[in-house]
Amino acid sequence: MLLGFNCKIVDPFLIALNLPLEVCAGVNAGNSWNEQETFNIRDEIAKVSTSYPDQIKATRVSDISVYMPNPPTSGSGSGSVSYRLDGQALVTLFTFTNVPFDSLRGNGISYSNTTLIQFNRAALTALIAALESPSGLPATATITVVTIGTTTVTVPQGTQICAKILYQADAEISS
Amino acid sequence: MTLLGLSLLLSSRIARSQSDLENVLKQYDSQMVKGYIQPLADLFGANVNAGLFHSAAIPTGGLHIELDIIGMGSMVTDDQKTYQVTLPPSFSSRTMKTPTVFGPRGTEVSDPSGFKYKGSDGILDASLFPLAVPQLTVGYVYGTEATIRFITTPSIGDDKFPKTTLVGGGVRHSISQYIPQAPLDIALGFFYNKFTVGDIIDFTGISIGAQAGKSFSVLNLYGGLAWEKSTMNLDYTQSGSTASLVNIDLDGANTFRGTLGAGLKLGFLSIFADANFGSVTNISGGIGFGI
Repeated sequence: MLLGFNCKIVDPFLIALNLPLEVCAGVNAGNSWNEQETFNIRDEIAKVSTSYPDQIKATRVSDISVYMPNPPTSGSGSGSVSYRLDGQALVTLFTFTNVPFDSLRGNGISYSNTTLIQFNRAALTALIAALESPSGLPATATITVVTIGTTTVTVPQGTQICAKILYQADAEISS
Repeated sequence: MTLLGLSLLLSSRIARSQSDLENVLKQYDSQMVKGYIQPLADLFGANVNAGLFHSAAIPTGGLHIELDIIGMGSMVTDDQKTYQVTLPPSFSSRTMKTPTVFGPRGTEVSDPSGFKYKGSDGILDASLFPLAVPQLTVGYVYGTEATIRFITTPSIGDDKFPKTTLVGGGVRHSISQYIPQAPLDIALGFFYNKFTVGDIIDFTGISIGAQAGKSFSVLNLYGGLAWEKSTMNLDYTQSGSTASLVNIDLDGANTFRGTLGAGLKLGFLSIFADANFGSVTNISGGIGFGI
């Protein structure tokens, strides 16, 4: 059905896979949270297609943010997000203090919002260096993301707060 | 390798659950996927509503059976090769240009913060986006004919482009039969097409139009004006742990179409071609066999 003319499938082409490495914590007992999750880079890529982990040409870190899917209408929270690479020591990536829940709505807050979030610049640089690769998969195989914090008010049951590292991996598709 | 070349290499094989095109789309949320895939909606829409007729003459009676092989193609313009995408919130720049499905290689953009972002490459390299389908027309009953078209293809290019199925049909009715001494053949027609691409893309196309034409021996000149609507529905779960559901409708650019064409009738054989003008420029043509 599809004809030649001047139309061809690009060969090879790259799919920029968007891989949100995301940990969401339930706010326990209404006023605190503590959650962690470990991500295996290959496994995250394989969730899109099992053949893609062997076709990766580059990886990069695109964004880091913290947000609440359904924030309470009032109150604020304070906390931190840390990471551990391949089982090494835990490193604090950023902290936030008395951030109004309303600021965590939608995309939440990220690196550019310096008034609400305080990044550990050295930790961020180390994280980007460890996860970024200009050719193939990075040397780092796993990353554990840890989020802890407290709220100023008791929040409704089911309230969640999420930390997200938006990670990209380029899968090369060829015939 | 051309799509025609790829199609010649088709063989029965176990397909992966999703094609690479579908995997590209699943990287995008509902806002971003619009920019990447909208040109495909525009061009597919223009294609499925093309080649629906190649004459305005519909006699009031007699047996008519004709099998046509119709080819159509829509022009891919430069502004359909990139689109503006919103960068992640940490970037100091808010937007960047990135390829559509017809675009060039994706480029990486860096932010002083150290974050980097890249869009997927285009998948189709085309100046003319083609489609072809067999079409059967049967008539005539009280100046009316019916047309059906159908084709299905397996995934091509080692699962880069998914399986597709096009099914459509319509009816046309002679208006000139009610006009004594009509100087032209005149007809009205309605057509509906449904085109499925893989598991997550569905097109529908509707065309309502009037045609006029005149025959000079073996030469047939024809034209038409039509209102049309095409819609691409995307329905998938976005990749990633958030697993957001995406279900959006994208309307094709064409809503009105003007057609000018000519054909030759040589016994059982018909040869025809036309140009279609609207928001999308389209050409179609074909060869037919019938009585």
